[in-house]
Amino acid sequence: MTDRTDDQLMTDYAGGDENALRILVERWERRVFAFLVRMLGSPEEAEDLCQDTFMNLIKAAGRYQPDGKFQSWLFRIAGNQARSRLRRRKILRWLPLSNEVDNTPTHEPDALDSLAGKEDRDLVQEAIARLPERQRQALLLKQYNDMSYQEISEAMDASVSSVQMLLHRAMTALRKDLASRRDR
Amino acid sequence: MTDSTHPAGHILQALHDGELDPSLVAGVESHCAECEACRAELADLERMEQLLAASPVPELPRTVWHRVQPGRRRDSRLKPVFAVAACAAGIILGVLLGPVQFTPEETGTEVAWSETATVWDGSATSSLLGVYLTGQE
Repeated sequence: MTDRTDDQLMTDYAGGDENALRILVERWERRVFAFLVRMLGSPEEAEDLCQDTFMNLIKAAGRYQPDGKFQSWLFRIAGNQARSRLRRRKILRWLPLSNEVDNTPTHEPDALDSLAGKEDRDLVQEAIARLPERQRQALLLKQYNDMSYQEISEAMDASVSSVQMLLHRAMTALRKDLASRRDR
Repeated sequence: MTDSTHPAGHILQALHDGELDPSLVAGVESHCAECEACRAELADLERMEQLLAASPVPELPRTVWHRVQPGRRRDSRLKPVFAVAACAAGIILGVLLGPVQFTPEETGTEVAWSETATVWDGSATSSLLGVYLTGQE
């Protein structure tokens, strides 16, 4: 691969080195994709938005400040893409002719019956999918991207104390959700 | 947290994550050393984190590089929302232009299908659409 840092690669790409962009994409695409799948629940949509995230990175490359915050910057783009898609889903639910596949987790009590006997990790994924968007976003960035509260705050355009509260609420909600399902 | 003397949940969470303000760490750790409920809370957080860590990582089926590299046209699949919008626009145009009747005299050509084609006159529509188009109830 390369020993160049993300910032160096961004600087090199801005200087015309297209290979630097390729290295960046290949370095980050799996993590961006995994984040988007967990945000959206749909691999197909996640793949599309993964592409869109890097397209937006290309558009914004000239404005990037190489200050060691590439991950926050990249996941800010990806997070905005995901939340924009989730908003669109809510709008499309009201369109009678819509053929959009709605992957939003169901809150129907009947749907819970089918969860009986599933492995813990499936239950965890489903519980994550039921979290409010911002709680889910903060949790995913921390848990699966090892981002610090400060980095998450930059990626989410929120204060560190807000991130702290979002993470606490997310973990509390997950524990309650899982406890209630196991009791069934 | 039923006892107001316990640290708040987000404080314990931050301690667990190694993100607690350094000035608070000693005090909270000292409390936890003597408080079974808070230790249980921390243990719960740890178990939850292990569950989260055990979750499988979604696999990207193929690199997106070929779709994002500069100079290459991006994937231009028609997205469902645009397909729906296009269908809606087509229906609206069809309704608005439907009553227009083209005759051979107007077009100057003999049209074989004109003898058999049914020209829409508004009679077969729903009463609501008929009222809208004709202005008559």
